[in-house]
Amino acid sequence: MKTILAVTVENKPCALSRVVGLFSQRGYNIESLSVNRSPGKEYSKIILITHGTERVIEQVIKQLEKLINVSEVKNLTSTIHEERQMSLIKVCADSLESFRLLCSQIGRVFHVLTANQEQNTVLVQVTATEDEMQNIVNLLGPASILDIVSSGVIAMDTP
Amino acid sequence: MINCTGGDLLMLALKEEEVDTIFGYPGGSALHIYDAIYRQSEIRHILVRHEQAATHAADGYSRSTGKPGVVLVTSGPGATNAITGIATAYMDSIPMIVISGQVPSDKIGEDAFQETDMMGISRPIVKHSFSITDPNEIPLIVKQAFHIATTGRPGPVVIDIPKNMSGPSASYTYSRAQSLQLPNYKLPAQPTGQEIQTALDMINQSARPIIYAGGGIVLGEASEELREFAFSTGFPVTLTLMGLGAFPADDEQFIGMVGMHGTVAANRAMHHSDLIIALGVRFDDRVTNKIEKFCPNSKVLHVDIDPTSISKIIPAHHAINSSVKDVLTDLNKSIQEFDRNSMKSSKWWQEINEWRACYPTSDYTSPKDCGQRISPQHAINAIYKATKGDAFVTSDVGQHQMFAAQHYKFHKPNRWINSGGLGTMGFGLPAALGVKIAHPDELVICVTGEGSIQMCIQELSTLKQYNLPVMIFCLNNESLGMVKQWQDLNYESRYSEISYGDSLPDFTSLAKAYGHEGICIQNQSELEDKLAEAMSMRDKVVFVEIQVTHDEHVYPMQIVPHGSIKDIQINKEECV
Repeated sequence: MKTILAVTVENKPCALSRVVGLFSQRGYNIESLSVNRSPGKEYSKIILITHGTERVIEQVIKQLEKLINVSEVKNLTSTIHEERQMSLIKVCADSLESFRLLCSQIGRVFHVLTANQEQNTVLVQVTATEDEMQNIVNLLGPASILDIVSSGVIAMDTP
Repeated sequence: MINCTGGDLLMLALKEEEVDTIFGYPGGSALHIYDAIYRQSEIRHILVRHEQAATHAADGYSRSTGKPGVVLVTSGPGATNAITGIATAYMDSIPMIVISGQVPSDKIGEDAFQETDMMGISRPIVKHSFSITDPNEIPLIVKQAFHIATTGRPGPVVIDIPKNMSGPSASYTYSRAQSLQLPNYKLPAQPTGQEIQTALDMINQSARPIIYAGGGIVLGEASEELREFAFSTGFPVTLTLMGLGAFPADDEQFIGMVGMHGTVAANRAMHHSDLIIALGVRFDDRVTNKIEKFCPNSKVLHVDIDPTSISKIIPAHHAINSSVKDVLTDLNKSIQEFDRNSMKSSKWWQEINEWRACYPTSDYTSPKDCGQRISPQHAINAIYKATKGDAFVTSDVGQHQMFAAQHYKFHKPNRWINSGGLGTMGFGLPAALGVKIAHPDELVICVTGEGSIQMCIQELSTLKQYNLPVMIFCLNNESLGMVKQWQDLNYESRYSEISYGDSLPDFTSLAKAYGHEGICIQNQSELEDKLAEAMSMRDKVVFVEIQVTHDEHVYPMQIVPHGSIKDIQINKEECV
């Protein structure tokens, strides 16, 4: 079962390594990880994706809650939420025209950051859910993707 | 106090926590702290011979008193040597404060002399850890460390102090930390009325109940409450290795230890029960055996202070995440009208009593026809009698540990001190040292083997220095007995690396070289007299080597790894 957890930790030395270390120590896995400081800077918010049976997820949450620097653990998968991932993709297209066509077929907004007309390469930014992102990568085709870098998933429960 | 160094702040903060003893070993990064120790007189420092022993001694001090043990080591090798003892304490939930020196802040990360990342190395084996970044934080962090170590499920806490944080380069004023400032540290709530009622309903509906209690009773100081609960209900009681002493071993409701080397009666009663009342236990694999076959018809009522222990291994039908003392207190208020007598005369008790009669522990302890050599079970029974069952008993790890657990009857909590979770050979002697520091007037014995004792034998010197007369009983079978047993059972007796040839020391001479008394018992006929001779020297360290049979196995033994809790081998030939 894929589960997205939102973990709020005190912004203290070792806090992140305690969270990440817990996963390797207890044989859980982290599929995606995204960390940033909260506006007040006293806390950091960690969004992570893990997999496991219901009982494993229950253990993961209880183990995380037990860490002294952790203030809150939310299971976003069990609530209505929005999730996004950002990718930067360097694409080689037959022509920029054909790339634009492909983009419109995929039906997502690609923000073109830079374009190299002579080599028919573009660097685009795209924001999507994790599943959509996989779909986009498939549609672009591995042959045309020169390089790709993706952020961890971020997510939030809906108001 | 004004004009303090960081080291002085540390000592003052430790005094605030009523620390009377530190177990430690000095070195470069800890020198400022050792200077602060020199300049005060209220806290005693015990200089061990190896940092691992400092942690085990602090651990023994803690297990026998309930107070946190305090350790001080230097950076680098001092810190890494302490790791085994920290992990030992972590696995058995023992409150401990480990203060480690560190290289100066501006050197961290430069691979400075004796630098190691103590925060990183210790992270998976501590309840929490702190690194000092400003000497003014020391009083607060010490207060937080003690609070974390001793509350909830206890455990070790590391405080890493870079050298420039403890030194005299600036002076500070000590001011007592007022509030804890741990907004995110969660402690379990009191049990609710509904939680207690559901538990009572389960208890009332059960025809075949069993109380399965463990280390949580000892740590949670709930032995009295457990005894009252057992008395009111008349239910059979089994204890884990860590729980021994939490319920008196000579009480007729005690059906023996549960688990791999537990009694047939206790393991069968678990298997055939319809309700397991699990109190301060964690369903360790050395108890459950094969999980899939675990107690198929039992409901589980699980009480534990640690939420992660609940439903981690065996799902609980009803769980109460509170202190076991609070839960038992509430249950005891409501259980007064329970029909204890009909429970005691029930078919369930008849069955259990039949199992007990069929497989008595006396089968193992009676002197055997094994030539002149002494059977180890018989030896433990003789030690139990010679010490009148009233000693603090530390043990090392291996066959002697299991024999002691099976045949030394513990009547009080905090008396049985062994490394249950981590299984640390070398634990017994330094742990006994720590117990003796805490209980100078009590009889403290260490039951060990010729393998384990050599892992921390240097502490014989510390015993001499501080005049700590503990009694050491070393069951010498001239091989790593438990490994040999497993090689017999699973590797067709291919004995790989379990003996020392003729290189074992003469333990009597060794003890004397350290300034102690040494006694060697070789024959069954002299066992009682020589034990009595040892007991007559209560003011000395006496190293008693007991030469025991070479081929003994620990039985009963669960059949691993595919058996259920009740599938048990009772001797070399028979399984039941």
